[in-house]
Amino acid sequence: MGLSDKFAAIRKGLLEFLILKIVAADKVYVADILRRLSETDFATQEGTLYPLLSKMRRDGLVDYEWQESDAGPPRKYYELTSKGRSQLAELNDYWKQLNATINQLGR
Amino acid sequence: MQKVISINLNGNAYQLDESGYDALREYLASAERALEGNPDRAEIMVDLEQAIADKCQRFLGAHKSVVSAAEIEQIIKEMGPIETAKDESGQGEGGAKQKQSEQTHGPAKRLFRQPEGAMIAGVCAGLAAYLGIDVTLVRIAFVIVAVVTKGVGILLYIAMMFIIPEAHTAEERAAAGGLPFNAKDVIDRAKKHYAEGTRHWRRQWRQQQRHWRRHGWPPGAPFAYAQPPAAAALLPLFALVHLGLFLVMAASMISLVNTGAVLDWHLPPNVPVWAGVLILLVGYQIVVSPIRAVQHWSWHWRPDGLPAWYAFWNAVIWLIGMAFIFWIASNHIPEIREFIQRLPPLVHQFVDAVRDFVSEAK
Repeated sequence: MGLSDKFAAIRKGLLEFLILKIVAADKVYVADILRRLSETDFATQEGTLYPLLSKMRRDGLVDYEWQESDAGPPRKYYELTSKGRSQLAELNDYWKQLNATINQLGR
Repeated sequence: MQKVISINLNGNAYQLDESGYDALREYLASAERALEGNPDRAEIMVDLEQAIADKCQRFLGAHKSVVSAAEIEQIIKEMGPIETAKDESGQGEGGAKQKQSEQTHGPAKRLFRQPEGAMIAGVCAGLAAYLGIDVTLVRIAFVIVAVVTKGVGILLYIAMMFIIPEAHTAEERAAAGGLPFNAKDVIDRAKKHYAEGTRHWRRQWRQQQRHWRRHGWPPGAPFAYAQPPAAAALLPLFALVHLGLFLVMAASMISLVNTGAVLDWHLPPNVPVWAGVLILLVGYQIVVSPIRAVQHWSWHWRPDGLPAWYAFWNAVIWLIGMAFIFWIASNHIPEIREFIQRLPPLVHQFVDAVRDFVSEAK
């Protein structure tokens, strides 16, 4: 089992957090999110992202609005709801706490 | 040479090789299977088709109008397998497994009637299990609601008796113990009962009509349905008295809750405010019931007989009007605002008193 396999579950769990961060930074559509993620360890495909986004929307974390694009049909642009913003703040705090814990324990 | 098949992806026309078409169809079918039970399945499918259409666009040019099988394969690879957020195993091992994980996901908290420990039909027992409180408290609340609303509470019980399913299996009994309430289930059941009910009444109505056709109208019916003229003339008067009494009751209630007194008459110090409110409500119901009886009686004696929906909409409009007046008043009259602020602690005191009473009785 390679190192990256070991952390597959962690990456999976963190994906929602990262999407919250990306959507918080900018109004984006799915291709933007995929591009931002593809540069990282969290490269994701449409088959995963669409169901996840629809679940996040059901949970009331994100919402979208249709916007015309220069080429092709209108696109769904996602943005955070107030619930999404507060959850992102909580996750950020939790992440810092995790970091501190990891740094404190042993070396 | 390969056959070319035209497809429609979310409103965009594309031409594919036959083998590419088969692969794409297989991919979309597997996506649909994977999303089985997902409330947004249709929307996600549209999104996926649009994403595939966008990717197809990339391979097409001025002199290339067909997406090849190899290109479709690459597109499918880029899209990746459909992973539902709930699929924790990550392996997507066939539809059956996913279905199971969806069913076990999220404890399906549901409201059931509990025949064991029931006095009538187990509605109170089920509610108590669902709310996690003592059955006796629920029963007392039901009796009070039934008295205060002059029997509407009993109708409520009967309605719940039909709407709420009975816990039959051990699984259902466990689910009754306190899991989220499945509103859809209740609505489905209500719809079913409603449909059965209307069928039943339509049948009855047809039988009645046949009976009338054969035997003529019941003798004396036009006389029996004639309206006593005096009651008709007095009806507005009764309505006015009813309204006046209601306003007096409302004013007394507000004064009682805010100051503990009505027109210089103070509650005895050993009687809590909530008891005063309850006495006031019951007293109002008793005073008003003869007036209401006359009103109902005169409605029912109309020659054409006012239909049931009239009474229903009458009540709905009345409720909306009251809510509106209350809202305006609470925004502009400080006494009313104070009244509303004092209500929650009052309810708490009442619940505490009932709980004390119950625990003493045990």
